[in-house]
Amino acid sequence: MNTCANYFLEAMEDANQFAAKLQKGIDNICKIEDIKIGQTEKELVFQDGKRKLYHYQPRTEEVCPIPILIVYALVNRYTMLDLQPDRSIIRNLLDRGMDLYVIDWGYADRMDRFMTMEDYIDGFLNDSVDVICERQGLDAINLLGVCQGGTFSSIYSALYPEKVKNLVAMVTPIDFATKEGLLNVWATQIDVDLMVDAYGNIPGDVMNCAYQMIQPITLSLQKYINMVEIMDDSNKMADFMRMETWIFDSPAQSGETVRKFLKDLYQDNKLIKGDFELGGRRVDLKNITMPVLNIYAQFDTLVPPSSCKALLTHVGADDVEEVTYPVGHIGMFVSGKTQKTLAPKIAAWLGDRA
Amino acid sequence: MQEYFKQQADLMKMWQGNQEELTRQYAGWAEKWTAEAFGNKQKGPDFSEGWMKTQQAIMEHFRELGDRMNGLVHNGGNFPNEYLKFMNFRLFEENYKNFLANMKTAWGAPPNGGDTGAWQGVNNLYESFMGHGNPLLSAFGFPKVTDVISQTIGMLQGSWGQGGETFFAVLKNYQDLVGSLSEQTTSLLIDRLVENLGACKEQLEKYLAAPPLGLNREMIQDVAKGLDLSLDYVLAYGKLAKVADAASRKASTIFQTRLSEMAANKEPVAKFTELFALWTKESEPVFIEFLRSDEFAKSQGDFMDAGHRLNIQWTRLAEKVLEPTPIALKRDLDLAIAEIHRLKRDMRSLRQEVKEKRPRMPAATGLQMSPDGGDGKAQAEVKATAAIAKKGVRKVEPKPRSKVLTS
Repeated sequence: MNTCANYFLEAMEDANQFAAKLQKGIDNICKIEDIKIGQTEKELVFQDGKRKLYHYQPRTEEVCPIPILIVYALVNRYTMLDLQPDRSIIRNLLDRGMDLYVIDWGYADRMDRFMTMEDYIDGFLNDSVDVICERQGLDAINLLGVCQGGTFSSIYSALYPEKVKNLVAMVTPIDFATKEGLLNVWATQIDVDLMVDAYGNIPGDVMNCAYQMIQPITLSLQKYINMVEIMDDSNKMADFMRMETWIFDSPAQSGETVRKFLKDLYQDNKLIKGDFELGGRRVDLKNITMPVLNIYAQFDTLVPPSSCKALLTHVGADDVEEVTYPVGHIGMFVSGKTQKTLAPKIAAWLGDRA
Repeated sequence: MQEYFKQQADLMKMWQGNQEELTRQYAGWAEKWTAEAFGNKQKGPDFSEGWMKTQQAIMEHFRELGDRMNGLVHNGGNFPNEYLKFMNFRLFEENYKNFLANMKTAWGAPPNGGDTGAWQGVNNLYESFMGHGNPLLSAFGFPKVTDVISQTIGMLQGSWGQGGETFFAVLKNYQDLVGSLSEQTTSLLIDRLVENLGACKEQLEKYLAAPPLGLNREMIQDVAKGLDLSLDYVLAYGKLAKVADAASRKASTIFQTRLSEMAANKEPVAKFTELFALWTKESEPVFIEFLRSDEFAKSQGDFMDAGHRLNIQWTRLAEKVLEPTPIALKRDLDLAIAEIHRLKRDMRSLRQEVKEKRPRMPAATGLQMSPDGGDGKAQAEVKATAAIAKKGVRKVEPKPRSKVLTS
């Protein structure tokens, strides 16, 4: 029968083992030379300042005639979709004959302080669509918007429906008045004008701090405790480091864009009320009449399902489909479950509507 | 002019009278507070001494300034040296030191320096609440907070004289303060801290809101506002910490109860990683529930707003310091950047207009903008692409790296 002393000795032994693992792991980390993400081959085809449009090298002999433009969020980087060869939605789509373009919004700096949502959506997004259409002799292409990029894509599709053949929205916030999301709750109590006036551009670390607070212990402590368990495995550790690289690769947010995004959407929920305006034009989601595939994550704490699901109840399209996966926001792109099913689903859905 | 100075002197006298009365009231209140708050009769630090000296020094300063100005107007004397230096933009360092010296003088420190200026009075006031001798704070080992505040006040006094680093250091100090608060506070302490800082602010505000006089009055007012906002920031943090503390206690109780239950069931957790996993499992839902509450959202919002107000005020102060120098200010850069941005948008609109007026080109004309540069092969490829697009499948031919289009 165990005594307190035995428990104590056991605990001490465990602590020693933990420390030894940590030491070995540190040696292991030192051997990891270069953490690279977003390595699938692509070429730059259009550029406006820091904003770039890339075209991925097709990986099949035949490709779908209607290319997909991936519109990622301004928050963090599109490289999440191409974290590593065996965890890459982009590679999976390419392997299924999709012709892919992606927008790289770049790293906003002081010169981008006054970049507005109009500049991003009416500006570079629209220009990119035009460039792709001209390159491929098309009138319309497929849009695949991710997270905030999905909101941008939805707004774009409502304003320029003639240029969007099909819309795929992934983990896309549309209804911001939900109380399921902590970001939604917190955003209502912040004086956005003060924040933007104080910061100018909102630093990436500020955003990261908010994201970490959503699961404060898991994301700030528990995952690093768990990390010690895998530190002696170089491959697992490299995977971990790639994810860390992506997580903290956080561009600052242009001040004026944040001002409008938080005030008009998070605070006033104007998009689903039909009051949202861009460049003086009202954005009516009913104008989204092209087929829509809405994909969301069941356990998403950043963009809760209720926020995503609102898209299909507000668009004017008849051909709509909703798909959900039992994963979280990031898990949607990197989990083993979705790696096998997500890209095939998107490819098949778009293939049917090419 | 003499009449003007007489009026100013009368105003000063009246103001001093008010301040003396306020100080007397405050001293009485604070003594009573110290005795009642800590349940003993220990006499609090004599913060009123510095304050009284301050008022006298302000009078002295004012009289001296009046005399010098009078001499300048009536006798054609030289403008005081320090003001000439202040206008010499080439000597930034000198200027900065001089600015600080002026600030100190205007607040009442003796012209030859010394530590009995108004800032020292403010510092004393803080010390009376936060100092090592304070039985409440010292009981909980709270020296860091006092140090941080003292350092900050010291910087505001200009005694550090570290040029542009000063304001960053002030902000860093507040971060340290926040850190030290979070490390060392307990529920009771937070309650008392919030209460005491609230009372401190209430009293200090009267002092800070008093109309300053002298050549640097605007700057003095700005610094005073900065100090006031910094108190708001600390207070907002205290309130946030207070609500967070309740959640932390709840989480801790749940975790300990669970540990006890497991031990009672002869299933104690011996592994570090298991212990941590259990802590995460039991505690995190409590924290998330708390983070979801309106109370937290409100406290966090207030804390952030207070921080942003303080940040804006420090920026304003930093710009005032830099104003006479050739260094571009944030507001200048913002104006320039906004203008560049506006020009870029205009250019874009013009481009768009030109594009719309141009008749739509057939697909092949897209070659003018195509990455292949418009040769025949590429033209054929685009035509083929368009044709294949209609059929449903596009054949991919390997192609050389294309040129990048720029807008």
